[in-house]
Amino acid sequence: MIRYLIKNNFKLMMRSATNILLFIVTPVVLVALLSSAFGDLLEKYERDDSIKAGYRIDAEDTDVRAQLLAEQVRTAADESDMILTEYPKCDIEEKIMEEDLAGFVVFGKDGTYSIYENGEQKYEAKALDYLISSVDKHIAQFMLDAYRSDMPSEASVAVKYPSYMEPIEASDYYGIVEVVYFGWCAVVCGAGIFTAEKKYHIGKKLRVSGLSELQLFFGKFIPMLLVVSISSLITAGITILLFGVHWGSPLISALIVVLSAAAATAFGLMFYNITENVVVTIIAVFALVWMAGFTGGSFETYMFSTQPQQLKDISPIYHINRALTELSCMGHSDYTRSAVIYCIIIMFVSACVSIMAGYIRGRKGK
Amino acid sequence: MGTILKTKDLTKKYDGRVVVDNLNLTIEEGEVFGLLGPNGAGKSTTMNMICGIVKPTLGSVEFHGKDFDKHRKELIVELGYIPQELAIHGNLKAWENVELFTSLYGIGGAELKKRIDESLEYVGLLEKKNDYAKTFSGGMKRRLNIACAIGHHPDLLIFDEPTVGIDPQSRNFILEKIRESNKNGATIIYTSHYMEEVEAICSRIAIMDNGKVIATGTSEELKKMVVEDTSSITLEEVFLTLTGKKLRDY
Ligand SMILES: Nc1ncnc2c1ncn2[C@@H]1O[C@H](COP(=O)(O)OP(=O)(O)OP(=O)(O)O)[C@@H](O)[C@H]1O
Ligand SMILES: [Mg+2]
Repeated sequence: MIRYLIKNNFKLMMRSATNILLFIVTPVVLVALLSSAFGDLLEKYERDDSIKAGYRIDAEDTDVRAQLLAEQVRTAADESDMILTEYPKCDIEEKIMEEDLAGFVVFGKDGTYSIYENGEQKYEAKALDYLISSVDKHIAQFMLDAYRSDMPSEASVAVKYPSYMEPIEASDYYGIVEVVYFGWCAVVCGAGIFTAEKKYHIGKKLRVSGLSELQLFFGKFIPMLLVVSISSLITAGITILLFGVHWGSPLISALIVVLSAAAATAFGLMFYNITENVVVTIIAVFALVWMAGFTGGSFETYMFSTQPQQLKDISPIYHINRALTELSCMGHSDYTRSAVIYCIIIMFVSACVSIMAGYIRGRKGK
Repeated sequence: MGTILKTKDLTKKYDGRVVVDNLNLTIEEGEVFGLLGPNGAGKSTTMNMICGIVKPTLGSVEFHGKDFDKHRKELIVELGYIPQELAIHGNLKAWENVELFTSLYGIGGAELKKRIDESLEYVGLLEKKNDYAKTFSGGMKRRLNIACAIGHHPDLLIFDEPTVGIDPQSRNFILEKIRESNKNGATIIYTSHYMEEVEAICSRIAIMDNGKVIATGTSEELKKMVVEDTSSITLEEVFLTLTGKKLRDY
């Protein structure tokens, strides 16, 4: 009965002081440090006067996709209090200086676009960037849906305009992303068990009892997930009490945090089952998670980071961070779906690879 | 009484080196079978192959008349394995260790509670059930290691050097318990390189060296192989005569 294996592995993890330190104390300290260090940066964003930007359409009048994008961006800008002015023929750089614009958009063929940013209005330029990419995403999704359901082509695009870049408090931002980041370091909480199983040959005895690879996997996965989820939720609770972090929709947010922990746990276990080496596993997982966190906004906010969008999109942490922070400041997020799907895929693939690795090793009979 | 376990041409090679060589052992139901051999003879490897932890390079194991590899799921509950190493969690209490390993054989609830106390009682650790295993002495850990393997009432118990590094009292206690288990119906395989122990409890002994069994029989029969007058020779001398005096450093 694997229930008792789960129970005892859970006890083993909860009895480890390192786990409490890593998953509860460290993130709380980091939230305090980061939110005070970067508070200024985010505050700058809360501005009173409207953002000014310019645009030009280089695409043909018959280019439906380009015209649609330009039109939707104009409407979205209007709704978001952004002043978007057309300058048909001009030297862009000169115009930016002359009119003190935050940025300048050129709409090209088939819905492509490029943005010139004003270096002196970095935050405002990012806001423009954010607005256009959001609208572009909506249109792409709309076209896809229309194509799938054979909608008449005249149907108008029903875009829900994102209130672009709602200001988010530094403590909210870091309170959220640090919980996510530390959840991704989940594999560490299993390290004690991995070591004991190897050092004291407990893995051997588990095998003698005829446990299947699937049972062996869940015997570790479930207690690890429990420990990480519980400590994440406790950390979240502490940050709410100490720093007044807003978590938006508590239920959906909690669900995403737990799913993210599940993906992280399976991912870490996969490394361990392949390498069977605790140190290598921790180093590899930490390095990968650090990279994903770096591009995903765990240290520098994703809004203002200069990482290329493609890199951000690869990082699961980006999707999770963005979903959670947007839920916090806007109450909804287009990233909820991608974050959930991403987590489920990682979890599933990692679990399969883990179990396969164990099975192959068992067959070889090491 | 029939045969409970049989190895057929059991062979293990590590990187081309033969560690267990074409081993054909037959264990009869109800006996205490001793496997003697110097360090590196291949005793643990043989036990590990029997238990399914190590895959044989060649050969098979028959348990209760069935191919063990093919019928592992159904036969596994009849096997109790006490590994040479202490396979216990220091950060779990004594009863939790027993719970963990006993539950793996499909025992739960009230029955599991009963078996935990019974196993701990058996090895004389019931009073210490709430102590962490890491606070135990070497002898107590050895006993706990045994308690973890008997809760599911297997009919074959494999002890791989259960008495290394412990005092005469604990050793004596463990040997007594093995005899008791045997009286209660369990078949025992006992590996060791302590002659007196093997002579004291085993009804039949095999001497293994370099992966091969070089002699099998009762201790009397083994002595007869070396000299006529068996009263003048100890099993240790037989062992040294048969296996040679060279040190085993692999
Ligand atoms: N995983 C392994 N890889 C390579 N060689 C191994 C492995 N396991 C055991 N051996 C070798 O196989 C030989 C037999 O080892 P084994 O542990 O079975 O001996 P043993 O009779 O139990 O000895 P001891 O009395 O010291 O416990 C040794 O020479 C050992 O070095
Ligand atoms: Mg051995």
